[in-house]
Amino acid sequence: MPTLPEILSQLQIVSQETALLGLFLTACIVLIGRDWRVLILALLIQYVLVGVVLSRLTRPDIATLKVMIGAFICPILFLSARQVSARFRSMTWAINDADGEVHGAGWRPRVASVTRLLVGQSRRRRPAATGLIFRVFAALLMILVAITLSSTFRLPGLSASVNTAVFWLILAGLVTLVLTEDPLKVGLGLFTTLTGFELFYTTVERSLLLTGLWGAVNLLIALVIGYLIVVKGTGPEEEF
Amino acid sequence: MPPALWLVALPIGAVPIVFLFRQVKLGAAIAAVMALFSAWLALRLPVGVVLNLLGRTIELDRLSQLTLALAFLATAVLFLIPLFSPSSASRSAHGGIKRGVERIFYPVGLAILGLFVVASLSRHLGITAIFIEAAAILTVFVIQGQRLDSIRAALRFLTLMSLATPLFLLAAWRIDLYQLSGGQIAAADLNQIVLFVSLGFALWLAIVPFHSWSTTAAAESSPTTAAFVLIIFPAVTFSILIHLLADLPWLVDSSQLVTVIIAAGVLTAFVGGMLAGIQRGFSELMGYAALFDAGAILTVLGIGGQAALITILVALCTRALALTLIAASTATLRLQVASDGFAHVKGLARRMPLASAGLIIGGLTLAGAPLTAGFATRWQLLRSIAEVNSYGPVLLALAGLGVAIGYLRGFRAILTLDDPSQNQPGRSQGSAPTFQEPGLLLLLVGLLILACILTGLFPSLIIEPLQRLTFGLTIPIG
Repeated sequence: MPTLPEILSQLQIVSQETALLGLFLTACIVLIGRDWRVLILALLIQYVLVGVVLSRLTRPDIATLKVMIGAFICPILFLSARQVSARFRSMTWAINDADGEVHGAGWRPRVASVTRLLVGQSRRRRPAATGLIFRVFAALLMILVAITLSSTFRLPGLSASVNTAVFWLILAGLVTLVLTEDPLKVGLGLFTTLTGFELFYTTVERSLLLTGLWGAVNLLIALVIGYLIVVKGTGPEEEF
Repeated sequence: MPPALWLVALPIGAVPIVFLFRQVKLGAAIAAVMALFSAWLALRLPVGVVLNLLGRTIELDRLSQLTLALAFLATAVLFLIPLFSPSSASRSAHGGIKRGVERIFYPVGLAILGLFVVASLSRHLGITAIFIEAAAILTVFVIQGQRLDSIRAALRFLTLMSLATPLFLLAAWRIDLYQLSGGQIAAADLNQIVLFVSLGFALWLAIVPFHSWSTTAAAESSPTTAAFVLIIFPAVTFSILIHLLADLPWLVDSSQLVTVIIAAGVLTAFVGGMLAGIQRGFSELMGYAALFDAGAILTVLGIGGQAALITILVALCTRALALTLIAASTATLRLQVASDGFAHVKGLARRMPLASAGLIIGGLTLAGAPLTAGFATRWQLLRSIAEVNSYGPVLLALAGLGVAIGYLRGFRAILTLDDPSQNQPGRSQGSAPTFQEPGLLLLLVGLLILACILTGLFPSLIIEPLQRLTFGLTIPIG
């Protein structure tokens, strides 16, 4: 079975531009998407792509470490979100059964489940102020801001495309943080911002002590976000 | 082991024992004794370089000693509040919210203090930031407690604190580059460091517009844990900021930094004070009053001068005193009512006179009212800022007035006679006529009131010992 560094070296076939395009898409999904499974998968892919980009810019073991941290963070978030989701699903089924709703096998339930996968299953009964269209426009606006910022402020030691990716990830994460108070989405927004920061910081900071401590802090943040996801899922619905 | 490391080892070593006994009062007692002993130890330890770890200096200096002693002492008193509360009160529940939220506070609070000691001992901004982040992560559990109704305060705190860490890591990287280059720094690089440091400290100190973690924590967390967060984080953060300015005096060469510090301080104090005047509950009021106080302390730092350091230290001590008093008083009031909103505390002054008095005196101390402990530092601030800016004193005085108005509105509410015909939501049923204030908690509130008034009447009681301890230390501003 190949080790993680070997997998990363095999992923060298992915060109830097392709990896950057992937980072652009994953951050877009984090910003726009709502289904927790898709969001966590997007974050995992984001960490792998950052590892691919970093393996060309810094030591391969450091790049591998970053991917490993991401590979630990995503299961933590997944397990927490699944626990809440299972509880929510059982509650929804109980409510639907009480309302006498029929769970048929026609094309409508299938279309509904695909739609839920794309736009998510909201716990709110009322429409959110920051709906899909709003988030798409926010993403488009942030793309423009990221391009403008990256052409104005050149980060040392980075190519133009990586420079844009750093700004894009940070901005996409920050906008996600601004648009939601759902702990899972806040966590994903926070990790996207921190990933953007790491894409630059890892190339300039050579201290292994700081790199190790920062990785440990990332894992602790994931644990505490997992805790908050479970607490929110256990408690009554909160008005934002 | 170097003696200074006992300050880390003792609180963290006590965590498992306190955790085991957290359900009974023994846990709180052990935690309080440990924090008190650590406060004493912090003042007794010799200053100087402790050790070099992986090329990084670990050093205990006079300022760190004082702030750590203050943090340990304030936490010890805060640990006593749930310890002195009746056991039956901690088991009761109101509106689905469990009241025994402090149980996790004892072990986690000690661990947080241990991490703060490491952060204060480190002389590298990046490592300091990472340990503060680790402390912030643990603080999430303290803020959340056992509540299930809302996670907003914990989430905002975590998010804003986590966003500050990358800024400090970038600033530390730039500072390292400067030191490696032999002291040559370009204006653009200096501006970058100033930008990163300013934003980072603005997030840590809850400076407007990044203040939501402070006010939300005060509003949603229990009074004891909210006071813990509002005392400990600013105290350690101000200490780190002063260290940074003392270690890197060239940062002050940037005129922008000093201007930004003063402007941010006045703005924060003004916003905090104005919003304090319109709050409808004592918890929310405490958050905005603490915001005003943090802004005032930051303004003192920005103005600088010979008396700045001692003014800041006295202000941090009076802040800790006032917030502890408010927390103890609010916790006492909450034994009788589920909420400390003004609508729910009507008539409590007759049943709980000492706790009501403590709440108002603590609030007026934060406002800087005459005859309270906060007056001396506020008066010094107004005199200092009048020399550099003509609008500053007016804005700060208005802000202080706003905090005082907020607490006087609360005072009017608790003095108002309760209408028994109204069955208000959140009010405990049945127990009101027979309720007795817990004696030990009242003793604690009484002692804190006495301390507030005595240091207000005789400020030299607190200023002179601090002057002796900080002899020779200055801030390189002004």
